[in-house]
Amino acid sequence: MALILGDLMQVSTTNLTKSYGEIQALKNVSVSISGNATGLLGPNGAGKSTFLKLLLGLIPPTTGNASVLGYSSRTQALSIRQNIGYMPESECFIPNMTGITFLTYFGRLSGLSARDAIQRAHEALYYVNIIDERYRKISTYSTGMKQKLKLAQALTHDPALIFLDEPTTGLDPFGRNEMLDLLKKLVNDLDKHIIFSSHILHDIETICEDVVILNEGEMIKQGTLNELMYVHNPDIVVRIRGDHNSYVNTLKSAKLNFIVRQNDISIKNTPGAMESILQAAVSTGVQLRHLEFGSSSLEDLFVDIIQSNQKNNERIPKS
Amino acid sequence: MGIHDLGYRVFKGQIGGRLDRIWAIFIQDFTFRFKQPATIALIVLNYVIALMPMIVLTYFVRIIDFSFYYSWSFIWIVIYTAVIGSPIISNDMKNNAVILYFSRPLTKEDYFIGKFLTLFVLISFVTFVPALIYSTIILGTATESMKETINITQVVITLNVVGLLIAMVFSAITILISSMTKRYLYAGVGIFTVLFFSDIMGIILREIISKNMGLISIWDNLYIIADDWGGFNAWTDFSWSVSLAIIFAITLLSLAGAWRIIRRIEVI
Repeated sequence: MALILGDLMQVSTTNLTKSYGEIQALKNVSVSISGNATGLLGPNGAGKSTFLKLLLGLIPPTTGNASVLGYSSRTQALSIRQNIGYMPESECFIPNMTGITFLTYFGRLSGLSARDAIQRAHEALYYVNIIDERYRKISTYSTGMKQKLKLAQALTHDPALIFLDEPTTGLDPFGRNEMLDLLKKLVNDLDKHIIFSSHILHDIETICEDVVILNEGEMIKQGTLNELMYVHNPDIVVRIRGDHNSYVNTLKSAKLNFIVRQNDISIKNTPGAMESILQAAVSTGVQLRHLEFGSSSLEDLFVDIIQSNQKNNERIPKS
Repeated sequence: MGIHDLGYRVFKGQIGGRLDRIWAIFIQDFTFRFKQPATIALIVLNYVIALMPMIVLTYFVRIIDFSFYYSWSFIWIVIYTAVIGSPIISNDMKNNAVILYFSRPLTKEDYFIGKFLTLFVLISFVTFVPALIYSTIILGTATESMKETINITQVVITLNVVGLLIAMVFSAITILISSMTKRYLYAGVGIFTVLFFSDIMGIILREIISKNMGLISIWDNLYIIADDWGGFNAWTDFSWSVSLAIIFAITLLSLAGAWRIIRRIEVI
Protein backbone atom coordinates (compact mmCIF):
# COMPACT_ATOMS: atom_id res chain seq x y z
CA MET A 1 0.00 0.00 0.00
CA ALA A 2 2.88 2.35 0.77
CA LEU A 3 3.48 4.85 -1.98
CA ILE A 4 7.10 5.21 -3.12
CA LEU A 5 7.71 8.74 -4.26
CA GLY A 6 11.15 8.50 -5.79
CA ASP A 7 11.55 11.42 -8.17
CA LEU A 8 7.82 12.05 -8.44
CA MET A 9 6.92 15.72 -8.29
CA GLN A 10 5.39 16.01 -4.85
CA VAL A 11 3.93 19.46 -5.03
CA SER A 12 3.35 21.78 -7.92
CA THR A 13 1.42 25.03 -7.82
CA THR A 14 0.59 27.57 -10.49
CA ASN A 15 -0.34 31.14 -9.55
CA LEU A 16 -1.90 29.92 -6.34
CA THR A 17 -3.77 32.75 -4.67
CA LYS A 18 -5.95 32.84 -1.58
CA SER A 19 -7.84 35.95 -0.57
CA TYR A 20 -9.98 36.62 2.46
CA GLY A 21 -11.97 39.64 1.39
CA GLU A 22 -9.42 42.31 0.57
CA ILE A 23 -6.60 40.52 2.34
CA GLN A 24 -4.44 38.34 0.13
CA ALA A 25 -3.01 35.56 2.28
CA LEU A 26 -1.18 34.03 -0.68
CA LYS A 27 -0.29 35.80 -3.94
CA ASN A 28 0.37 33.97 -7.20
CA VAL A 29 2.62 31.33 -5.72
CA SER A 30 4.14 29.02 -8.33
CA VAL A 31 6.47 26.35 -6.97
CA SER A 32 7.59 22.82 -7.71
CA ILE A 33 8.76 20.67 -4.82
CA SER A 34 10.37 17.29 -5.22
CA GLY A 35 13.07 17.05 -2.57
CA ASN A 36 13.21 14.70 0.41
CA ALA A 37 13.00 17.48 2.97
CA THR A 38 11.78 20.89 1.95
CA GLY A 39 11.59 23.81 4.31
CA LEU A 40 8.79 26.32 3.99
CA LEU A 41 10.36 29.32 5.54
CA GLY A 42 8.89 32.68 6.36
CA PRO A 43 8.06 35.01 9.19
CA ASN A 44 4.76 34.74 11.05
CA GLY A 45 1.89 35.62 8.75
CA ALA A 46 3.88 34.85 5.59
CA GLY A 47 1.20 32.43 4.36
CA LYS A 48 2.90 29.12 5.21
CA SER A 49 -0.08 27.52 6.96
CA THR A 50 -2.47 28.80 4.30
CA PHE A 51 -0.21 27.27 1.65
CA LEU A 52 -0.29 23.85 3.35
CA LYS A 53 -4.07 23.98 3.83
CA LEU A 54 -4.53 24.85 0.17
CA LEU A 55 -2.38 21.87 -0.80
CA LEU A 56 -4.50 19.57 1.34
CA GLY A 57 -7.68 20.96 -0.19
CA LEU A 58 -8.86 22.07 3.24
CA ILE A 59 -9.55 25.52 1.87
CA PRO A 60 -10.27 26.33 -1.77
CA PRO A 61 -7.89 28.62 -3.66
CA THR A 62 -9.26 31.92 -4.94
CA THR A 63 -7.36 31.47 -8.20
CA GLY A 64 -4.63 29.19 -9.47
CA ASN A 65 -4.06 25.48 -9.11
CA ALA A 66 -2.17 23.09 -6.88
CA SER A 67 -1.35 19.46 -7.37
CA VAL A 68 0.05 17.11 -4.76
CA LEU A 69 1.45 13.71 -5.80
CA GLY A 70 -0.24 14.26 -9.14
CA TYR A 71 -3.69 14.87 -7.63
CA SER A 72 -5.47 18.19 -8.05
CA SER A 73 -6.26 19.89 -4.74
CA ARG A 74 -9.50 21.24 -6.21
CA THR A 75 -10.97 17.98 -7.46
CA GLN A 76 -9.01 15.15 -5.82
CA ALA A 77 -8.50 16.41 -2.28
CA LEU A 78 -9.55 13.07 -0.77
CA SER A 79 -6.85 11.21 -2.73
CA ILE A 80 -4.31 13.78 -1.52
CA ARG A 81 -5.36 13.36 2.10
CA GLN A 82 -5.22 9.58 1.76
CA ASN A 83 -1.55 9.78 0.86
CA ILE A 84 -0.45 12.68 3.04
CA GLY A 85 0.23 12.98 6.72
CA TYR A 86 -0.53 16.38 8.22
CA MET A 87 0.68 17.74 11.51
CA PRO A 88 -1.17 21.00 12.14
CA GLU A 89 0.29 23.89 14.08
CA SER A 90 -2.67 24.46 16.37
CA GLU A 91 -3.76 22.23 19.23
CA CYS A 92 -6.48 19.98 17.90
CA PHE A 93 -7.08 17.15 20.33
CA ILE A 94 -10.11 15.51 21.89
CA PRO A 95 -8.96 16.07 25.48
CA ASN A 96 -10.89 13.27 27.20
CA MET A 97 -9.45 10.62 24.93
CA THR A 98 -6.37 8.59 25.75
CA GLY A 99 -3.40 8.82 23.40
CA ILE A 100 -3.94 5.32 22.04
CA THR A 101 -7.69 5.84 21.44
CA PHE A 102 -7.01 9.12 19.70
CA LEU A 103 -4.48 7.60 17.33
CA THR A 104 -6.57 4.51 16.66
CA TYR A 105 -9.57 6.68 15.89
CA PHE A 106 -7.76 8.89 13.40
CA GLY A 107 -6.12 5.81 11.88
CA ARG A 108 -9.60 4.43 11.27
CA LEU A 109 -10.66 7.72 9.72
CA SER A 110 -7.76 7.28 7.32
CA GLY A 111 -9.36 4.03 6.25
CA LEU A 112 -7.42 1.51 8.35
CA SER A 113 -9.30 -1.48 9.73
CA ALA A 114 -9.82 -1.58 13.51
CA ARG A 115 -7.06 -4.15 13.90
CA ASP A 116 -4.57 -2.31 11.68
CA ALA A 117 -5.41 1.03 13.28
CA ILE A 118 -4.66 -0.13 16.80
CA GLN A 119 -1.43 -1.82 15.72
CA ARG A 120 -0.29 1.23 13.77
CA ALA A 121 -1.24 3.47 16.70
CA HIS A 122 1.08 1.48 18.96
CA GLU A 123 3.88 1.62 16.40
CA ALA A 124 3.53 5.36 15.87
CA LEU A 125 3.46 6.06 19.62
CA TYR A 126 6.52 3.88 20.07
CA TYR A 127 8.27 5.71 17.27
CA VAL A 128 7.66 9.13 18.82
CA ASN A 129 8.60 7.76 22.22
CA ILE A 130 5.38 8.22 24.20
CA ILE A 131 4.35 4.57 24.27
CA ASP A 132 4.37 4.51 28.10
CA GLU A 133 1.85 7.33 28.26
CA ARG A 134 -0.56 5.82 25.76
CA TYR A 135 -3.32 5.05 28.26
CA ARG A 136 -3.26 8.51 29.79
CA LYS A 137 -5.82 11.13 28.86
CA ILE A 138 -4.46 13.67 26.39
CA SER A 139 -5.49 16.50 28.73
CA THR A 140 -2.72 15.34 31.09
CA TYR A 141 0.01 15.43 28.41
CA SER A 142 2.78 18.04 28.44
CA THR A 143 3.30 20.33 25.44
CA GLY A 144 6.16 18.15 24.20
CA MET A 145 4.05 15.01 24.41
CA LYS A 146 1.21 16.71 22.58
CA GLN A 147 3.53 17.73 19.77
CA LYS A 148 4.77 14.14 19.52
CA LEU A 149 1.18 12.90 19.50
CA LYS A 150 0.41 15.25 16.63
CA LEU A 151 3.36 13.85 14.75
CA ALA A 152 2.26 10.29 15.54
CA GLN A 153 -1.24 10.88 14.16
CA ALA A 154 0.33 12.07 10.92
CA LEU A 155 2.17 8.73 10.66
CA THR A 156 -0.56 6.21 11.50
CA HIS A 157 -1.56 5.50 7.90
CA ASP A 158 2.08 5.39 6.76
CA PRO A 159 1.97 8.29 4.31
CA ALA A 160 4.82 8.86 1.89
CA LEU A 161 4.70 12.64 2.22
CA ILE A 162 4.17 14.53 5.47
CA PHE A 163 3.27 18.19 5.92
CA LEU A 164 4.57 19.56 9.19
CA ASP A 165 3.30 22.95 10.26
CA GLU A 166 5.61 24.50 12.86
CA PRO A 167 6.37 21.18 14.60
CA THR A 168 8.70 22.70 17.18
CA THR A 169 6.31 25.42 18.37
CA GLY A 170 6.18 25.74 22.13
CA LEU A 171 8.93 23.21 22.81
CA ASP A 172 11.80 23.77 25.20
CA PRO A 173 15.34 23.30 23.78
CA PHE A 174 15.44 19.66 24.83
CA GLY A 175 12.02 18.92 23.34
CA ARG A 176 12.96 20.80 20.19
CA ASN A 177 16.10 18.74 19.67
CA GLU A 178 14.12 15.58 20.29
CA MET A 179 11.54 16.61 17.69
CA LEU A 180 14.25 17.51 15.17
CA ASP A 181 15.92 14.13 15.73
CA LEU A 182 12.60 12.39 15.07
CA LEU A 183 12.15 14.35 11.86
CA LYS A 184 15.70 13.56 10.75
CA LYS A 185 15.02 9.88 11.35
CA LEU A 186 11.80 10.14 9.36
CA VAL A 187 13.69 11.43 6.35
CA ASN A 188 16.89 9.42 6.66
CA ASP A 189 15.76 6.09 8.11
CA LEU A 190 12.13 5.75 7.02
CA ASP A 191 12.52 7.44 3.61
CA LYS A 192 9.63 9.77 4.27
CA HIS A 193 9.40 13.01 2.36
CA ILE A 194 8.56 16.06 4.39
CA ILE A 195 7.50 19.62 3.81
CA PHE A 196 8.39 21.43 6.95
CA SER A 197 6.97 24.88 7.63
CA SER A 198 8.74 26.99 10.19
CA HIS A 199 9.89 30.48 11.02
CA ILE A 200 12.78 29.03 13.02
CA LEU A 201 15.74 29.10 10.67
CA HIS A 202 17.88 26.73 12.64
CA ASP A 203 15.24 24.02 12.44
CA ILE A 204 15.03 24.29 8.67
CA GLU A 205 18.82 24.34 8.38
CA THR A 206 19.05 21.18 10.50
CA ILE A 207 16.54 19.11 8.53
CA CYS A 208 16.03 20.41 5.02
CA GLU A 209 17.97 20.33 1.80
CA ASP A 210 15.54 22.53 -0.12
CA VAL A 211 13.90 25.75 0.89
CA VAL A 212 10.94 27.78 -0.27
CA ILE A 213 10.90 31.25 1.24
CA LEU A 214 7.57 33.01 1.64
CA ASN A 215 7.01 36.56 2.75
CA GLU A 216 3.74 38.50 2.90
CA GLY A 217 2.04 35.78 0.88
CA GLU A 218 4.61 35.81 -1.91
CA MET A 219 7.15 33.18 -2.83
CA ILE A 220 10.41 35.07 -2.93
CA LYS A 221 13.07 32.34 -3.27
CA GLN A 222 13.24 28.65 -3.96
CA GLY A 223 16.18 26.31 -4.29
CA THR A 224 18.51 24.01 -2.43
CA LEU A 225 20.06 25.46 0.68
CA ASN A 226 23.54 25.23 -0.92
CA GLU A 227 22.41 27.03 -4.07
CA LEU A 228 20.77 29.80 -2.10
CA MET A 229 23.82 30.27 0.08
CA TYR A 230 26.09 30.36 -2.96
CA VAL A 231 23.92 32.73 -4.96
CA HIS A 232 23.72 34.89 -1.92
CA ASN A 233 27.44 35.74 -2.22
CA PRO A 234 28.94 34.36 0.94
CA ASP A 235 32.16 36.01 2.08
CA ILE A 236 35.53 34.71 0.95
CA VAL A 237 37.55 33.58 3.94
CA VAL A 238 41.35 33.56 3.57
CA ARG A 239 44.19 32.61 5.93
CA ILE A 240 47.72 33.71 5.12
CA ARG A 241 51.30 33.19 6.25
CA GLY A 242 53.59 36.20 5.96
CA ASP A 243 53.29 39.94 6.48
CA HIS A 244 49.75 40.24 7.73
CA ASN A 245 49.71 44.05 7.95
CA SER A 246 50.93 44.72 4.43
CA TYR A 247 48.42 42.17 3.04
CA VAL A 248 45.56 43.90 4.90
CA ASN A 249 46.74 47.31 3.67
CA THR A 250 46.83 46.05 0.07
CA LEU A 251 43.24 44.76 0.45
CA LYS A 252 42.28 48.19 1.77
CA SER A 253 43.85 49.96 -1.17
CA ALA A 254 41.97 47.56 -3.50
CA LYS A 255 38.80 48.92 -1.81
CA LEU A 256 37.61 45.53 -0.60
CA ASN A 257 35.27 45.20 2.38
CA PHE A 258 36.67 42.79 4.91
CA ILE A 259 36.74 41.86 8.56
CA VAL A 260 39.79 40.41 10.33
CA ARG A 261 38.81 37.56 12.65
CA GLN A 262 41.86 36.22 14.55
CA ASN A 263 43.78 34.33 11.82
CA ASP A 264 41.06 34.60 9.18
CA ILE A 265 40.21 37.51 6.93
CA SER A 266 36.60 37.48 5.80
CA ILE A 267 36.28 39.45 2.55
CA LYS A 268 33.00 40.55 0.94
CA ASN A 269 32.52 38.68 -2.33
CA THR A 270 32.03 41.60 -4.71
CA PRO A 271 32.76 41.37 -8.47
CA GLY A 272 36.53 41.11 -9.00
CA ALA A 273 37.18 40.40 -5.32
CA MET A 274 38.81 37.05 -5.98
CA GLU A 275 41.31 38.56 -8.45
CA SER A 276 42.21 41.34 -6.01
CA ILE A 277 42.76 38.82 -3.22
CA LEU A 278 45.14 36.79 -5.34
CA GLN A 279 46.97 39.87 -6.68
CA ALA A 280 47.39 41.19 -3.12
CA ALA A 281 48.98 37.89 -2.13
CA VAL A 282 51.38 38.08 -5.10
CA SER A 283 52.32 41.71 -4.56
CA THR A 284 52.94 41.36 -0.81
CA GLY A 285 54.62 37.96 -1.11
CA VAL A 286 52.37 36.25 1.46
CA GLN A 287 51.45 32.63 1.25
CA LEU A 288 47.74 31.82 0.91
CA ARG A 289 47.28 28.91 3.29
CA HIS A 290 43.51 28.67 3.10
CA LEU A 291 40.77 30.07 0.85
CA GLU A 292 37.08 29.18 0.94
CA PHE A 293 33.63 30.57 0.50
CA GLY A 294 32.43 31.25 4.00
CA SER A 295 29.07 29.92 5.08
CA SER A 296 26.77 32.73 5.95
CA SER A 297 24.01 31.25 8.04
CA LEU A 298 20.51 30.78 6.75
CA GLU A 299 19.57 33.47 9.19
CA ASP A 300 21.77 36.03 7.36
CA LEU A 301 20.39 34.87 4.06
CA PHE A 302 16.81 35.04 5.29
CA VAL A 303 17.13 38.51 6.77
CA ASP A 304 18.81 39.83 3.61
CA ILE A 305 16.18 38.29 1.33
CA ILE A 306 13.23 39.54 3.40
CA GLN A 307 14.74 43.02 3.64
CA SER A 308 15.52 43.28 -0.07
CA ASN A 309 12.01 41.99 -0.87
CA GLN A 310 10.48 44.65 1.37
CA LYS A 311 12.60 47.35 -0.28
CA ASN A 312 11.47 46.16 -3.72
CA ASN A 313 7.83 46.23 -2.63
CA GLU A 314 8.23 49.77 -1.31
CA ARG A 315 9.68 50.88 -4.64
CA ILE A 316 6.63 49.63 -6.53
CA PRO A 317 4.10 52.48 -6.46
CA LYS A 318 0.72 51.45 -5.13
CA SER A 319 -2.03 51.89 -7.68
CA MET B 1 -1.31 -11.56 22.91
CA GLY B 2 1.99 -12.54 21.36
CA ILE B 3 5.21 -10.57 21.44
CA HIS B 4 4.98 -7.84 18.86
CA ASP B 5 7.85 -5.75 17.52
CA LEU B 6 6.67 -2.19 17.92
CA GLY B 7 9.18 -0.74 15.49
CA TYR B 8 7.77 1.45 12.73
CA ARG B 9 7.07 -0.54 9.61
CA VAL B 10 5.62 -0.06 6.17
CA PHE B 11 1.84 -0.49 6.14
CA LYS B 12 0.71 -3.23 3.79
CA GLY B 13 -2.94 -3.55 4.77
CA GLN B 14 -6.11 -2.62 2.95
CA ILE B 15 -7.64 0.84 3.01
CA GLY B 16 -11.36 0.94 3.69
CA GLY B 17 -13.96 3.04 1.94
CA ARG B 18 -16.35 5.81 2.88
CA LEU B 19 -18.72 3.59 4.87
CA ASP B 20 -15.83 2.40 7.05
CA ARG B 21 -15.04 6.00 7.95
CA ILE B 22 -18.65 6.87 8.77
CA TRP B 23 -18.82 3.71 10.84
CA ALA B 24 -15.59 4.69 12.63
CA ILE B 25 -17.09 8.05 13.63
CA PHE B 26 -20.26 6.37 14.84
CA ILE B 27 -18.53 3.63 16.83
CA GLN B 28 -16.01 5.98 18.42
CA ASP B 29 -18.51 8.65 19.39
CA PHE B 30 -21.12 6.16 20.50
CA THR B 31 -18.83 4.14 22.76
CA PHE B 32 -17.18 7.29 24.11
CA ARG B 33 -20.49 8.85 25.12
CA PHE B 34 -22.14 5.62 26.18
CA LYS B 35 -19.36 5.06 28.72
CA GLN B 36 -20.03 8.40 30.39
CA PRO B 37 -21.61 7.97 33.84
CA ALA B 38 -24.19 10.70 33.05
CA THR B 39 -25.40 8.77 30.01
CA ILE B 40 -25.85 5.53 31.92
CA ALA B 41 -27.49 7.31 34.88
CA LEU B 42 -30.02 9.06 32.66
CA ILE B 43 -30.87 5.90 30.74
CA VAL B 44 -31.42 4.00 34.01
CA LEU B 45 -33.50 6.89 35.37
CA ASN B 46 -35.66 6.91 32.28
CA TYR B 47 -36.26 3.18 32.50
CA VAL B 48 -37.03 3.27 36.22
CA ILE B 49 -39.31 6.29 36.14
CA ALA B 50 -41.11 5.86 32.84
CA LEU B 51 -40.76 2.27 31.68
CA MET B 52 -41.08 0.37 34.96
CA PRO B 53 -44.49 1.85 35.91
CA MET B 54 -45.75 0.99 32.43
CA ILE B 55 -44.62 -2.60 32.82
CA VAL B 56 -46.21 -2.81 36.26
CA LEU B 57 -49.42 -1.25 34.93
CA THR B 58 -49.63 -3.68 32.02
CA TYR B 59 -48.60 -6.77 33.95
CA PHE B 60 -50.60 -6.29 37.14
CA VAL B 61 -53.42 -3.86 36.32
CA ARG B 62 -53.79 -5.07 32.74
CA ILE B 63 -53.92 -1.59 31.28
CA ILE B 64 -52.16 -0.38 28.18
CA ASP B 65 -52.04 3.40 28.14
CA PHE B 66 -49.73 5.54 26.04
CA SER B 67 -50.40 8.79 27.79
CA PHE B 68 -48.82 7.64 31.01
CA TYR B 69 -45.63 6.57 29.31
CA TYR B 70 -45.20 9.67 27.18
CA SER B 71 -46.00 12.02 30.07
CA TRP B 72 -43.45 10.45 32.37
CA SER B 73 -40.68 9.84 29.90
CA PHE B 74 -40.77 13.28 28.24
CA ILE B 75 -38.68 15.29 30.70
CA TRP B 76 -36.03 12.53 31.00
CA ILE B 77 -35.70 12.16 27.28
CA VAL B 78 -35.26 15.93 26.94
CA ILE B 79 -32.61 16.10 29.70
CA TYR B 80 -30.82 13.06 28.31
CA THR B 81 -30.79 14.53 24.79
CA ALA B 82 -29.42 17.86 26.03
CA VAL B 83 -26.70 16.19 28.10
CA ILE B 84 -25.42 13.63 25.62
CA GLY B 85 -26.07 15.62 22.45
CA SER B 86 -24.80 19.09 23.26
CA PRO B 87 -21.04 18.39 22.82
CA ILE B 88 -21.37 16.32 19.65
CA ILE B 89 -20.29 19.07 17.21
CA SER B 90 -19.57 21.99 19.55
CA ASN B 91 -16.68 20.19 21.26
CA ASP B 92 -15.03 19.31 17.94
CA MET B 93 -15.17 22.97 16.96
CA LYS B 94 -13.99 24.18 20.35
CA ASN B 95 -11.05 21.75 20.46
CA ASN B 96 -10.27 22.43 16.79
CA ALA B 97 -10.45 18.67 16.18
CA VAL B 98 -12.25 19.44 12.91
CA ILE B 99 -8.86 20.19 11.36
CA LEU B 100 -7.78 16.61 12.01
CA TYR B 101 -11.08 15.15 10.81
CA PHE B 102 -10.86 17.00 7.52
CA SER B 103 -7.14 16.36 7.02
CA ARG B 104 -8.27 12.74 6.62
CA PRO B 105 -9.93 11.45 3.45
CA LEU B 106 -13.26 12.34 5.02
CA THR B 107 -15.89 14.59 3.49
CA LYS B 108 -18.09 16.95 5.48
CA GLU B 109 -21.04 14.77 4.43
CA ASP B 110 -19.37 11.72 6.03
CA TYR B 111 -18.75 13.67 9.21
CA PHE B 112 -22.34 14.94 9.28
CA ILE B 113 -23.83 11.48 8.67
CA GLY B 114 -21.56 9.86 11.27
CA LYS B 115 -22.51 12.42 13.92
CA PHE B 116 -26.24 12.20 13.13
CA LEU B 117 -26.13 8.42 13.26
CA THR B 118 -24.43 8.57 16.67
CA LEU B 119 -27.11 10.86 18.06
CA PHE B 120 -29.92 8.84 16.54
CA VAL B 121 -28.74 5.59 18.14
CA LEU B 122 -27.95 7.23 21.49
CA ILE B 123 -31.38 8.88 21.68
CA SER B 124 -33.00 5.63 20.57
CA PHE B 125 -31.81 4.14 23.86
CA VAL B 126 -34.44 6.20 25.67
CA THR B 127 -37.12 6.16 22.97
CA PHE B 128 -37.00 3.14 20.71
CA VAL B 129 -35.36 0.61 23.05
CA PRO B 130 -37.88 1.15 25.90
CA ALA B 131 -40.64 0.88 23.28
CA LEU B 132 -39.15 -2.38 22.11
CA ILE B 133 -38.92 -3.72 25.66
CA TYR B 134 -42.45 -2.61 26.42
CA SER B 135 -43.74 -4.13 23.17
CA THR B 136 -42.19 -7.46 24.05
CA ILE B 137 -43.86 -7.36 27.45
CA ILE B 138 -47.23 -6.43 25.95
CA LEU B 139 -46.99 -9.26 23.43
CA GLY B 140 -45.98 -11.70 26.16
CA THR B 141 -48.53 -10.74 28.78
CA ALA B 142 -51.60 -9.47 26.93
CA THR B 143 -54.69 -11.37 27.98
CA GLU B 144 -57.55 -12.34 25.70
CA SER B 145 -59.77 -9.63 27.18
CA MET B 146 -57.07 -7.00 26.44
CA LYS B 147 -56.77 -8.28 22.89
CA GLU B 148 -60.51 -7.87 22.46
CA THR B 149 -60.47 -4.19 23.45
CA ILE B 150 -57.32 -3.05 21.68
CA ASN B 151 -55.38 -4.08 18.64
CA ILE B 152 -52.12 -5.31 20.17
CA THR B 153 -50.22 -5.45 16.88
CA GLN B 154 -51.24 -1.88 16.08
CA VAL B 155 -50.12 -0.72 19.52
CA VAL B 156 -46.75 -2.47 19.26
CA ILE B 157 -45.99 -1.06 15.80
CA THR B 158 -47.07 2.42 16.90
CA LEU B 159 -44.87 2.34 19.99
CA ASN B 160 -41.78 1.39 18.03
CA VAL B 161 -42.30 3.69 15.07
CA VAL B 162 -43.02 6.66 17.33
CA GLY B 163 -39.89 5.76 19.32
CA LEU B 164 -37.89 6.05 16.10
CA LEU B 165 -39.65 9.30 15.14
CA ILE B 166 -38.73 10.88 18.49
CA ALA B 167 -35.11 9.83 18.01
CA MET B 168 -35.12 11.25 14.48
CA VAL B 169 -36.53 14.69 15.23
CA PHE B 170 -34.61 15.10 18.50
CA SER B 171 -31.34 14.12 16.79
CA ALA B 172 -31.92 16.65 14.03
CA ILE B 173 -32.64 19.49 16.46
CA THR B 174 -29.68 18.50 18.63
CA ILE B 175 -27.17 18.40 15.77
CA LEU B 176 -28.38 21.82 14.62
CA ILE B 177 -28.02 23.48 18.02
CA SER B 178 -24.70 21.77 18.80
CA SER B 179 -23.23 23.05 15.52
CA MET B 180 -24.29 26.62 16.30
CA THR B 181 -21.89 27.18 19.19
CA LYS B 182 -18.44 26.15 20.40
CA ARG B 183 -19.71 25.94 23.99
CA TYR B 184 -21.48 22.72 24.79
CA LEU B 185 -23.12 24.29 27.82
CA TYR B 186 -24.88 26.84 25.64
CA ALA B 187 -25.83 24.06 23.25
CA GLY B 188 -27.24 22.00 26.13
CA VAL B 189 -29.34 24.91 27.37
CA GLY B 190 -30.48 25.58 23.80
CA ILE B 191 -31.54 21.98 23.21
CA PHE B 192 -33.40 21.83 26.52
CA THR B 193 -35.11 25.16 25.87
CA VAL B 194 -36.30 24.24 22.38
CA LEU B 195 -37.55 20.78 23.31
CA PHE B 196 -39.00 21.58 26.72
CA PHE B 197 -40.41 25.03 26.15
CA SER B 198 -42.02 24.17 22.82
CA ASP B 199 -44.10 21.74 24.86
CA ILE B 200 -44.83 24.28 27.61
CA MET B 201 -45.77 26.90 25.03
CA GLY B 202 -47.99 24.36 23.30
CA ILE B 203 -49.82 23.63 26.55
CA ILE B 204 -50.29 27.31 27.40
CA LEU B 205 -51.45 28.35 23.92
CA ARG B 206 -53.71 25.30 23.74
CA GLU B 207 -55.46 26.46 26.87
CA ILE B 208 -55.54 30.18 26.11
CA ILE B 209 -56.12 30.45 22.35
CA SER B 210 -57.17 27.22 20.71
CA LYS B 211 -56.42 23.58 21.18
CA ASN B 212 -54.95 23.44 17.71
CA MET B 213 -52.20 25.78 18.85
CA GLY B 214 -50.81 22.77 20.64
CA LEU B 215 -49.33 21.77 17.31
CA ILE B 216 -46.38 24.05 17.98
CA SER B 217 -45.28 21.50 20.57
CA ILE B 218 -42.96 18.88 19.07
CA TRP B 219 -43.93 16.45 21.77
CA ASP B 220 -47.68 16.96 21.29
CA ASN B 221 -47.34 16.22 17.61
CA LEU B 222 -45.69 12.94 18.47
CA TYR B 223 -48.46 12.35 20.97
CA ILE B 224 -51.12 12.90 18.29
CA ILE B 225 -49.40 10.41 15.96
CA ALA B 226 -49.14 7.84 18.74
CA ASP B 227 -52.76 8.25 19.79
CA ASP B 228 -54.07 8.14 16.25
CA TRP B 229 -52.03 5.15 15.13
CA GLY B 230 -52.53 3.32 18.38
CA GLY B 231 -56.31 3.62 18.18
CA PHE B 232 -56.71 5.98 21.13
CA ASN B 233 -58.62 9.25 21.23
CA ALA B 234 -56.49 12.27 20.45
CA TRP B 235 -57.09 15.68 22.00
CA THR B 236 -57.13 17.54 18.69
CA ASP B 237 -59.17 17.49 15.53
CA PHE B 238 -56.04 17.24 13.42
CA SER B 239 -55.18 13.87 12.00
CA TRP B 240 -51.84 12.19 12.43
CA SER B 241 -50.81 13.17 8.89
CA VAL B 242 -50.61 16.87 9.81
CA SER B 243 -48.49 16.09 12.87
CA LEU B 244 -46.28 13.74 10.90
CA ALA B 245 -45.76 16.43 8.26
CA ILE B 246 -44.80 18.89 11.02
CA ILE B 247 -42.33 16.41 12.52
CA PHE B 248 -40.72 15.74 9.13
CA ALA B 249 -40.61 19.46 8.35
CA ILE B 250 -38.85 20.21 11.67
CA THR B 251 -36.42 17.34 11.04
CA LEU B 252 -35.59 18.44 7.52
CA LEU B 253 -35.23 22.10 8.41
CA SER B 254 -32.98 21.27 11.36
CA LEU B 255 -30.82 18.95 9.24
CA ALA B 256 -30.59 21.52 6.46
CA GLY B 257 -29.56 24.20 8.96
CA ALA B 258 -26.96 21.95 10.57
CA TRP B 259 -25.58 20.91 7.20
CA ARG B 260 -25.32 24.56 6.14
CA ILE B 261 -23.23 25.32 9.22
CA ILE B 262 -21.03 22.23 8.96
CA ARG B 263 -20.43 22.79 5.25
CA ARG B 264 -19.14 26.26 6.06
CA ILE B 265 -16.77 25.20 8.82
CA GLU B 266 -13.46 26.84 7.91
CA VAL B 267 -10.41 24.88 8.86
CA ILE B 268 -8.23 27.56 10.40
